[in-house]
Amino acid sequence: MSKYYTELRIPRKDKSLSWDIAHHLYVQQFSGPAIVVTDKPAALVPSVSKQWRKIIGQAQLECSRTLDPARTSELTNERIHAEQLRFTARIPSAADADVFFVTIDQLLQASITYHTLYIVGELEGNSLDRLANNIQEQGIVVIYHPV
Amino acid sequence: MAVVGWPDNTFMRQTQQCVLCGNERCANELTIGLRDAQGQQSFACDDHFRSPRQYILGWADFTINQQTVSEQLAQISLSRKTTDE
Repeated sequence: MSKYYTELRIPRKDKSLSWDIAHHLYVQQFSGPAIVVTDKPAALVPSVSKQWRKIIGQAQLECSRTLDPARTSELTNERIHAEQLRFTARIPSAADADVFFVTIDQLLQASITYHTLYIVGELEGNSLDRLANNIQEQGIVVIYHPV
Repeated sequence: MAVVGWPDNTFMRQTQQCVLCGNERCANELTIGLRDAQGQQSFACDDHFRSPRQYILGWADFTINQQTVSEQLAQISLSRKTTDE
């Protein structure tokens, strides 16, 4: 029985995987903890963090351009939240961070619930339902197709 | 870029309206967005990723609109309660 939405993604040719994850995550940042499953968690954290800082810069730029007070308020709110989001390459535990980059084995050891699960690369026999066991009801699984 | 699965208790139409531009799109042209004021999952054209500016502003406007809807729903609920009493 599925309790989550599933989205397949392929990063655009002119953009990196990190760019795509960061942009997708920007919309989901208020939804709850997110997990990125990858073979190389430590390598992906700095590149997604870099893209994350670029989006924050873009949000700040849009905020300075707009004269609409509601937009200014919302963009400021988003920017402040985005600046406070914590990325880590450690086994997820409650209140430790907001976005966790882990291997499949680390995810299977974790016990926290999360809203968004990004899967980078092959699942290698692990069923999606097993990996997404702790996802929240109506959560989101995003699978990146190996290019 | 393609919504391929959804919760068992959720009805998905063959096409969904993009909440950012209003166009009807097939599941393979959509990205998953935010929940709306009534808790329904929203979707948007994956093409909006092409313009980070429109993407950021579009979702900001969506959130602002949903906050307004949420306030209106709360007012309706309150006025119904008052009428019932």
